[in-house]
Amino acid sequence: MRTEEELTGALRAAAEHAPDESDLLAGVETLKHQRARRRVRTLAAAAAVVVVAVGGAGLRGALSIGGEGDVATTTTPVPFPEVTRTVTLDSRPEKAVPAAKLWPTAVLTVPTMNAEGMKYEPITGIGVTQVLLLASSLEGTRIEVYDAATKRARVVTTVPMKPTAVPPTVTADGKNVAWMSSGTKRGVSVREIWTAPLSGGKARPVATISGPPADIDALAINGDRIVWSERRGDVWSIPLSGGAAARIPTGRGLRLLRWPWASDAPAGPDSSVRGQSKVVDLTTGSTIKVVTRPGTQGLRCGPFWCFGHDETGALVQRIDGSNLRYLDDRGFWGRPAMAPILNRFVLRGSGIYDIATDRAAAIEGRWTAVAAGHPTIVYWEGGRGTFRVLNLAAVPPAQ
Amino acid sequence: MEDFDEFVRARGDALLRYGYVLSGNSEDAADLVQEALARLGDAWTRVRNKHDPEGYVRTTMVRLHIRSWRRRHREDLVAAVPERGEHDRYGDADLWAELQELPRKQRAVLVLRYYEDLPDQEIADILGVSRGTVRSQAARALDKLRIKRVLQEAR
Repeated sequence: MRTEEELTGALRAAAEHAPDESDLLAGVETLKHQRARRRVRTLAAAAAVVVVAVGGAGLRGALSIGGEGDVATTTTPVPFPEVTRTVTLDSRPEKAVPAAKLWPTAVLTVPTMNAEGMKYEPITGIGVTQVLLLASSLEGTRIEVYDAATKRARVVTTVPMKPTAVPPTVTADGKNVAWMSSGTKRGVSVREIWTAPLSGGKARPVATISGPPADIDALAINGDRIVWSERRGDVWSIPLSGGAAARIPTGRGLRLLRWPWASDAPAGPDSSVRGQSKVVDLTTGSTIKVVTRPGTQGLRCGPFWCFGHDETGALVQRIDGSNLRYLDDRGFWGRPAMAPILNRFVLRGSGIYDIATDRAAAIEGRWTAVAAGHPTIVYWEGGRGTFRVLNLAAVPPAQ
Repeated sequence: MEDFDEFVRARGDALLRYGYVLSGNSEDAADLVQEALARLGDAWTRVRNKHDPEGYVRTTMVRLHIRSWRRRHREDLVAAVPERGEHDRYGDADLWAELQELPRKQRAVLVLRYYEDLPDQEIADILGVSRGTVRSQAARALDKLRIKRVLQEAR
């Protein structure tokens, strides 16, 4: 018999025979050009199909079709004949309205760096005109709040960490900010959780976690506690004032979504096809089962809505499997697996789709980013030296 | 995209080594890395904000690898397209050669576990299967390679 160590040794030894990296960048460029051409072709084909569908039905708005007839696709549909499928025409790119026009009060202009030349990374919206930002330079890292109405920034706190380390994961509620910085000590992963009052003040360490439990995928503040989950599952909490961290019994094996919800799949966004089977309320332990149709992949849910895809394309559905809507599947987001943001928005096409109003907002910019952590903002390149930040929490409620 | 080029230059060789243990030959290794990097380039702003571009590339590579096998396998049956890239051979050849005989999914599980040193749950997340599937695939592969299972029980 051989040993597992011999296997590791054989793999490591083989790796040394890998080709050298001389032409990687050139190869990547060639591939990207090929793909751009492919994408244009796919787009043209899909557009033709949609035009036929609209012309044939002569309908505006939501178009309902029975069972096997899926119009907006050229691939074989998954048969699920007893359910009515809805193709949402308003989510097609040509029906999408620029975000700043559709939700004028929710889109803010924020500079890309502060007066001292520290680069900003938007984290989350704070109120209607304010955005929480991570500011970093080689000299250090800070958390700031920028007010788009007064065009002024203020420092919340200085993040004590080595400037070369991975940027911290930051979260906030209306009163406090918390963040997790990462590093290693003698080859073991170490995460430090810190907090500071949102109104401004000195950073205070709350917990240090090392070893396997330091593989943390989500962090949130819930009133006077900080809550996080391990990537391998299990939700923990600790008082903001410090003390002992404790596993939340109802969160065994789960990953934190937005408090109080947890999932048995990653919170995302990720590119996995792994689906989710339940949503759990961590305060009561009550569980909502996710109903997944055959063929649906990467289905991720909050307490009401789910987002995923099947062979036909991207889709949203109620958690009980009802209310299926297919969405535009083209554009720059790819197929991010994540629950709808704030139970309402999904990253789709070249913008954001609003489940509550069945409207789509287009984003125009050379690049677009979604904030890290449990995102509630999306931002893209604005005019010279600025971001345009869409605060989804500030989008008016559906009428 | 300066950061992206920098990332490729800094991590390219590590990714090629990973591609090589996954695929077993130089040609496929380079293809895997290039395709995964091209996808990363498309998604650069999003992934960079998740702070883990390398994780994204590695995950993409292993998925591409398993998928490309399925595609190629079907082509083989229909059009008899020859497998490209002979498996390289060298020194400690036996175990390496036997590794190439494993189904790709099983080999991917072994690479993720014994080369990348990932816990089974993370391997399950990457491959989009259950932890139980990872364990059974690994066990089957280890048995074929006549490797005594010790670590397995502790995972």
